[in-house]
Amino acid sequence: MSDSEGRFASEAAMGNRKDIRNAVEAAHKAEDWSRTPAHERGRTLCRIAENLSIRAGEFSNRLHVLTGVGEWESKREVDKAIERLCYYAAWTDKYDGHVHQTAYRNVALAMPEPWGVMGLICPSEHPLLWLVTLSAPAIAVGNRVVAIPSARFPTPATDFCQVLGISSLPPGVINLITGHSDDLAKVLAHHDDVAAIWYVGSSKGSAAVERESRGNLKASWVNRGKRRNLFDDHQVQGWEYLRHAVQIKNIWLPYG
Amino acid sequence: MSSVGEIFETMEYGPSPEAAEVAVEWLEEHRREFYPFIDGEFARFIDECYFESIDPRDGRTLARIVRCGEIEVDAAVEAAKLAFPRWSALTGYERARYLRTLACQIQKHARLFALLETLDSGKAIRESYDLEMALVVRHFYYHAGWAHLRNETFIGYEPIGVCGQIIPGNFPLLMLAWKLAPALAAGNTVVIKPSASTSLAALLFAEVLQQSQFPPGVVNIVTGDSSTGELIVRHRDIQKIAFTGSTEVGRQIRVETAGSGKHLSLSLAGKSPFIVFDDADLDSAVEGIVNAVWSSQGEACRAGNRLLLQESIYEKVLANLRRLMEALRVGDPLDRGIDMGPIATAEQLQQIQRLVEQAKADGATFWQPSWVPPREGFFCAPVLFGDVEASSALAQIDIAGPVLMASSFRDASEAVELANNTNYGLTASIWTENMSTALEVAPKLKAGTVWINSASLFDAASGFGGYRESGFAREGGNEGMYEYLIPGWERCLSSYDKHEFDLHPRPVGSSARNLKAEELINRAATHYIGENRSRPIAGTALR
Repeated sequence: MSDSEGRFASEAAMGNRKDIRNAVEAAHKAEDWSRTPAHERGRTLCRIAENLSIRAGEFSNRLHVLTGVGEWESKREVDKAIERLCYYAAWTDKYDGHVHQTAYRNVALAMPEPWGVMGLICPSEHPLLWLVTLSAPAIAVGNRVVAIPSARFPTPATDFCQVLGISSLPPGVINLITGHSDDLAKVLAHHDDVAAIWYVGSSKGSAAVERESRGNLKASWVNRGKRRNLFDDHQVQGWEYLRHAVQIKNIWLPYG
Repeated sequence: MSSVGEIFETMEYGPSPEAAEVAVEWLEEHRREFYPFIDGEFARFIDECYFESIDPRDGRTLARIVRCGEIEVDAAVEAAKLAFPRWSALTGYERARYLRTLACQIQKHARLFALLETLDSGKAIRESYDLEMALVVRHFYYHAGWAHLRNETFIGYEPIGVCGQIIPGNFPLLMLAWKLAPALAAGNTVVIKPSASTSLAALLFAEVLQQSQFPPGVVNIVTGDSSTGELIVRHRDIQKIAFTGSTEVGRQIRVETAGSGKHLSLSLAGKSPFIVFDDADLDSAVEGIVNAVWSSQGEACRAGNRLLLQESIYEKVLANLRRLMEALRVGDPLDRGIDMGPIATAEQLQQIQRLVEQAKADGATFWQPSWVPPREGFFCAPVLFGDVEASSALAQIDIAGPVLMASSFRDASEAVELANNTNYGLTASIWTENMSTALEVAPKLKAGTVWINSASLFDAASGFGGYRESGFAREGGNEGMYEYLIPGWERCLSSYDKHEFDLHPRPVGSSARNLKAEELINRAATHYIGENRSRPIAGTALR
């Protein structure tokens, strides 16, 4: 990969359909994550944040060199990524559904359940923060993900996976395939064993993802080409993301 | 007429027909001719095209209704668009008052609504009146509350705009309520299309809107078949499509709306399991099965039409079921003693008969009660198939008819496996007196709603919707409100398309100075799959 000025910086793997297939398989094997208690999922997210903060200087320097943003901004990106991981660690045991008040004598539980395996496609900018922004809420509620990081600067994302490796996140919970993101997005959207997909990128890519998701009618959440401000917490973190990371199962029980 | 003594002897039901005069009068008042409801009135256009609404009891025409084309749909969308700024600017309290008035008015006309529905769809009056009307009224009341509370509950959220809604014929008015109430509560305006086979209740609803002095243009009702639906789906000025119907059509709509910027919610077919364990209260379970499967002639997509019985009680439950099926009464749906009316349309009846024949040929054990349903009209006797193979068409396709298929399982894990062995995931029902069994199975089922020791319970407070190919969306509850709201700041975002960001990797310029060794970022070009850093399969690496 080249840096912002076109100089050689590193090599990155070019993913294809078969890599995606393997990644989806690995994600399916990690289904224990969906049954892991919320407290434990939160602890894991905290560990990731801690391990990232240990290497914060290194990450921010690489982001600065690679993406060409100023030192202040690259530092801000890493700090925000750490904060966001902690933020979702806080949510894991607090995003807890409802007991609905129906017209009968019943307990109607609305249980937020993870989709299972999700596909996440990140835009080119802010390679570290976008990966964290999309994957943290998804795994916080118990999903396993196949993520396509920034096509332009994938290496901060692959570096981030090394952080995951030492944070006792079970293998297969976050899988990363680098390459042409829009092409890989289509493959992921087409895959029948992926239950939901989030796409951030161009409006053309959004359209392709929506179209390709028709097979198993997976829930697709796409940005329609619109660009959210990655540093504005209202736009890129919180309830909206958690809500899109789950589906509600209503369980009706007889009661008194 | 038998004497009282004889009746005591035979315990036979006598006829108890509901008088349909009010509904017939209403039809006559309109000269049995109906027009789309646009901008607060029944609108006339030149070159109108009509289709007929059929009484499924005898196949006779009930009314002629305009099949809306481009002109009508355009006018409806335009009206909704013009009404949006004012409707969405009302305070939550004001919108709530409109919705509450609507609920009252519907309640006032409940009997007429139920009669019309029964005439139009063939659904037993017991069901259209006792069950459906109560749910409809409740739905509007409940969402009136959300209208009032929207701003403080969904902070920062705004209505989407003009919503296009397309509903099926199995619960004509209930589906209309499920779609309209949350959309209106959120502050959207609507163009809604009822099913071509059951439009009359929606048209009466239009009159009720007028009586409630609902602002014109907020709700527009266009009548027609799938061609009208297509016009709605494709319309440029509609920002949201909500569809309930078959998975096949849902898929077409997914493709059609892809990239159009329209929000989409789909509520699609189901093939719902009804799981009975050997420690269940069998009498309640069997009654639950009968209510779930053969209400609405089995046309409801949520019907538990795949019966899974634990091996040891398989024969016993089927014997009980056969006894109850023998006692089911099929006939004039206006009769209060009738369990099942006719199927809504002739095509649907043929489709059911075709699938039944196919299943017989596939070797499933076929059983039907000894009596024969009325010959005139689209009646269908209930069917019970035993020993159904999990992979057979019968176990996979949504039949939408009074057909139940039974198979057996050994233990909970096999029950879960069989239950999840379709592409759908709408509802499931579990029967056991053992709470641990029920709560072990419930989380493992792929279903949007799981009823424990109950079936077919619905409420406005509990979001209904499917997993997997049964669609994505919830109708009801706070979860259902989000289907009609978007974050307010979303409208003001800039675009990636105009932005210089390159979504594809760039080739390395040969003349560029390479970075110093310590600046080089990564060592090996790999993916991260499972616990491995894995080399790309194609062996190529991006430079």
